[in-house]
Amino acid sequence: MINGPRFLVNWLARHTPPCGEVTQLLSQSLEQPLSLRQRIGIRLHYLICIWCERYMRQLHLLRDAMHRHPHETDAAPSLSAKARARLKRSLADQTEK
Amino acid sequence: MARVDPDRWVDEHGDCLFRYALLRVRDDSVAEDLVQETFLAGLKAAERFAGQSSERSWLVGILKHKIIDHIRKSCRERPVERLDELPKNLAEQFDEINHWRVDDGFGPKDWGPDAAQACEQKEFWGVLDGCLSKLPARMAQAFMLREMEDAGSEEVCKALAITPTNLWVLLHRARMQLRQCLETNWFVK
Repeated sequence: MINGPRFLVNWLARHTPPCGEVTQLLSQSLEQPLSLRQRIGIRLHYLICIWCERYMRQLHLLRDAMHRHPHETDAAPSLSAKARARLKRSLADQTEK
Repeated sequence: MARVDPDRWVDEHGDCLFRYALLRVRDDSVAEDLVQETFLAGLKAAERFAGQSSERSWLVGILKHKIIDHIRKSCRERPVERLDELPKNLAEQFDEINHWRVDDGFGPKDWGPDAAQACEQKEFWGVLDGCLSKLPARMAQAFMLREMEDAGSEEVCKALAITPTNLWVLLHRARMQLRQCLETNWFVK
């Protein structure tokens, strides 16, 4: 569409929300549904802005990744040996009480 | 659950709990304190543990609550920062008419057809955690409570002592920053 008739591209640029606002609306849509008007505006905006369309897909990918994030990862960091010893000591103190 | 051996708990679950807490509170000593409190609470409740879930997920559950309590307490002491304008590192991606500054290299790039498969690679989680750790603390807390713990908006607002509008702004910024970080460090290297 970005290569479409110039007047149409310009019209869409003027009558759809700018990218900064679209990104904000897209984030908001993950919290609560957007109005029909907002959704139409965004869809029309995609016609001239592949970047915002990518942003939408990437936001969903990010959300999906966060949901699938394993609680336990093997990556660093870990407790230092000192910290580990401290923990054991404090637990031992507790169990003796 | 028979008499618990505290040493075994530390050896088996200490690192995992510590990492879990550190990602969310971002301070080594605070994380360690929370892990200690979790183990202590676990020891006290050990007889009541009916063994429905694994020992680790039970301990993580205790830790989750301790983390939320900690966040709630520490947020009461900190003033809410201004949230009306985007911080500089995010605002610079847009031009004066609020469009992506594509000619300067900003704007989401194409992540390719296999982007969704990133989750299947172990290294990806390390990169994601790295990006999460670069978020400003408050943003990170809001985002992780909402997205990883699946806490409701109301609960997150209460814990952080912010309004729903504040929360949406924080989430928007967190997502924007994370997206950019992941793009640079994983998807489009």
